Amino acid sequence: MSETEGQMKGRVAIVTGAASGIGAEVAAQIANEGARVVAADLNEPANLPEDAEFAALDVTDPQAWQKLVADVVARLGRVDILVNCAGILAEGTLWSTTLEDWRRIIAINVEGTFLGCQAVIPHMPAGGSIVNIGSISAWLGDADLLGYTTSKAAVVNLTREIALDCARRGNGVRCNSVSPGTTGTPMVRDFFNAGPRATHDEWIAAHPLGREILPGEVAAVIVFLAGDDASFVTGADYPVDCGALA
Amino acid sequence: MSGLSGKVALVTGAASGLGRATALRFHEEGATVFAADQRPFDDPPCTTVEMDVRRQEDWQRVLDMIVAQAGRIDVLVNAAGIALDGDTVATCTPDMWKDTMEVNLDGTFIGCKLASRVMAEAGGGSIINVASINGATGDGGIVAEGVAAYGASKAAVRMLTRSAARFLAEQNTGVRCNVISPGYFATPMVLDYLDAHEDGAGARARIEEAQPLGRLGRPEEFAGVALFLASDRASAVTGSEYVVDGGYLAR
Repeated sequence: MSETEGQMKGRVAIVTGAASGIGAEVAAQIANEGARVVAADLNEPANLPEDAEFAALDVTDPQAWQKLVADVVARLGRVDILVNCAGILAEGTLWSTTLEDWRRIIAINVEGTFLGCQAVIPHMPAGGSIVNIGSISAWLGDADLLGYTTSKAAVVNLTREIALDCARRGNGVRCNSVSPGTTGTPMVRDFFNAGPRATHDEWIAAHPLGREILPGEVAAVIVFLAGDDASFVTGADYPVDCGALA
Repeated sequence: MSGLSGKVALVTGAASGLGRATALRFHEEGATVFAADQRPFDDPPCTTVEMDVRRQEDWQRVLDMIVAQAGRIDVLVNAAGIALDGDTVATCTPDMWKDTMEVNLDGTFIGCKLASRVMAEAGGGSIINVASINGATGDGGIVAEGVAAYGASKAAVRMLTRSAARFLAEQNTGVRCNVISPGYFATPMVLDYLDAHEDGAGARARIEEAQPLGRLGRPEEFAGVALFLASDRASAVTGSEYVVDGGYLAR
């Protein structure tokens, strides 16, 4: 048993994108801390962590969010933690990105995060914490990732806005983001399988530690921000990037 | 997992404020803590050490002593720092400038340089520097009349951290180096300043207004961030700045 185990006992967490990658690790780590986890995704994963329940959710659908939150609050009484991990990564330049491509990436990465915060915050007690997923791409331009970098920069500033809004209301809810570097997730694997211009080695070379980040390492920062040790942290973005932004 | 059991830590500026809270939290989490400050002080749970962070020979003496007593050093927190009154670009004297730079910046540099060698020999470690929101933005008259030397020293600590982290990564040392940038905390540094301020209550109200969470941070809330960065849970975090400011910089 780890020394931190049980610190989130009695809390309720909603994690989106929980079927794979960073979201799956967050669901597992938060469940391991004793919280009740609602693992939301489009499709149910094969291995749901113990003490987690699955909820089908399309994060771009405002009604689906309202329904999910109403159901969770009716059954579990509250939502203490929201982690918006649902996201997509796609190649596209200024010229190759169609309006459809653009709308899809903004809808999932930015609107999905916005809708989640809007739906959940009214049900969060003081001490509530939201963690959104930025990226090192929020802080760096990449000619081949027009929609992705733009969407992640939007998430980082959306996070600040939500933090300031909650602070002004005095509702005791914090909101922060993490900015992972290249992480060993199915999302990144699928991106490279599609044959983009960049190579995985080139991406890794941009990280001074010379390796991919593990999903569990990103989840560790997220769980820290979701927890009470981060009680004076709000409106911040915490990189977890093997030194990429240094 | 987030604890520090079995680890050996050195915390400078540990007699008060953020350094003290960090040393105490590390002790609670199971670390062997060496708490250093420039003057003698009493902190029963930790081994106290007198050192002047500006002096390379003091660093060498303390690191040698820690290795001799504890066998290794896993974590260094460079929390020693000063902020002087009258720190505007017009009123900051060359001596004030020099003192601020020597303690806040040179001390951090020497600590990173010497401790990282000892850590690298043992296969790794975690260095945590302490900058400030004033290393990223001017005070704007919220509290102090200026942060000319203080802000410059803290901005430099932020960049020193990035350069050190890159170097230590590229050399495969296993040593991570990060920086925490705190906002205004209820530390003796801040509280004494407010006590001496001609309008201390007004200055305190301006801080509370400037930090969206509406209050001063508690030193333990800084220590929580330091604990995370010190622990193995932050294994992929290096060269990063973790801001803990109640939302100050988000505005």
